[in-house]
Amino acid sequence: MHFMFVLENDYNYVTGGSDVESSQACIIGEHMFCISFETESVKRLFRHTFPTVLPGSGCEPAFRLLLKEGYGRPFTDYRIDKFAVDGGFRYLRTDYALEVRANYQSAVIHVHDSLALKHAFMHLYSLLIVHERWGLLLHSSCVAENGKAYLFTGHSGAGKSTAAALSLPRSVIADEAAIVRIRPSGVSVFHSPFRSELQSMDGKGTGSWPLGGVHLLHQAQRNRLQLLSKSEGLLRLPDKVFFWNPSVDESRAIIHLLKQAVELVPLYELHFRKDPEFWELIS
Amino acid sequence: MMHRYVKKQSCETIILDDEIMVLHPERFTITKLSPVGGFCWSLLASAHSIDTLSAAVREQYEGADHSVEEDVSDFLNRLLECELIEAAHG
Repeated sequence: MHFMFVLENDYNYVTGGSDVESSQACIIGEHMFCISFETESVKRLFRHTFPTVLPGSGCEPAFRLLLKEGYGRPFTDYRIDKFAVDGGFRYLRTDYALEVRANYQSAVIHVHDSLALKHAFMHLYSLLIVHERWGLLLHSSCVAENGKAYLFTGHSGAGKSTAAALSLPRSVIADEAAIVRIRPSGVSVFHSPFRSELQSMDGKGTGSWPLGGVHLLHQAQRNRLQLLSKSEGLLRLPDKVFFWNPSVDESRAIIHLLKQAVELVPLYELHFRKDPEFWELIS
Repeated sequence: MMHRYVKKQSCETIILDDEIMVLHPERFTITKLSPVGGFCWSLLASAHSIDTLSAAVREQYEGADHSVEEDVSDFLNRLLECELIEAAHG
C-alpha cells in the first residue's frame, strides 16, 4: 500500500516505505479516514485517546491523515493562529499543529499529548464537515432513546456530562462533542469518538439516529421543559458549534446549517434536577 | 444634510417563522429584529435617513406616535453598533 503526502516545509512527506510505521482505516460519521502513524508510540497515543475508534478495512476513498508526536508544549489556552500556506492552511496551538490541504483530502497533525490529539482531530473533523456542508460538531452530549437522539447542550458547567451520566443505561452517543448530520430531509446524529469521560461503544455501527430534540440545560430544583421559537433557537446555537477561525464563507455555511436544523428539530429549555426523572419530560 | 444609511452588503437576512434576523458573517453574529425593525431593515436595501425611515414607518403603521424619529434613531444606532449598516455615500 502506498501513501503520498506532499506538504511543504517541515511537513514534507512521501511515505510508504520505512518512514511511516503503520496505518489504519477508520470511519467517523460517514467519513472514512486512512490514518498513517509516524511511530508506534503515536499509534498507541491514538488508541488511548480514541478507544472507540476501531480499525476498519479499505482505504479508498478516504481522507488521508498523518499523525506525529513530539510537538510544542502542554495546553495553555485555546488560542489558535491560522496561516495560509501554499496549497492549504496551517493552524497552530501551543500543543498541536494541524495542516490541511486546500482540497480537503489530506492533513498532517503534529501533537504534544493525548489532549492535543483529541482537540486537533476535532478541529480537523469540524473543518472537513463544514467544508462539505455535511453537518456540524456540536458542544453537547447526546443520548439515544426509542430510536431517536436527544442533544443536551448549554454553557460550561450547565450539566451536559451530568445529563449523559444520568441517562444511563440508555446509549450515550456523545458526552462532549456530538456529530450532527444536517440535510434538508432531516437531522441525524452519529456515534462520537470525541469524548471527555463516558467512553462508550453503544450505538457504534448502528448508523445514525434521527434527532428528536435539542435541550439547552439549566440545573434547577424542579424539572421543567419549555419550547423555544426557531429564531430563539438559532440565536442560542452558534456558540455551541466547534469551529475555529471561521472565514466569511464558513460562517455563512455554519449559520445555514443551523437554520436548517432549527427548522426541522424542536429546541427546548430544560431545567433539570440531578436525577433521571427529567426523561419523563423528554420521551 | 441628514446622514443616510444602507445595509452592509455582506450582511444576510434570515427569516424564520416570519421573524427577521440578520447574519453578519465577518463578526459571526446574528441579530434578531422586531417586526418594525424588520420593516426598516427591508427598506435599508437602499439609502435612508432618519426622516425618510420615520415617514415610511408612519405610513405603514397606523397610530405611530410622535416618538417615531427617536425610536428610528435608536434603532439605527444599534445597527451601527452591530456593524450591520454603514453611511451611504453619494
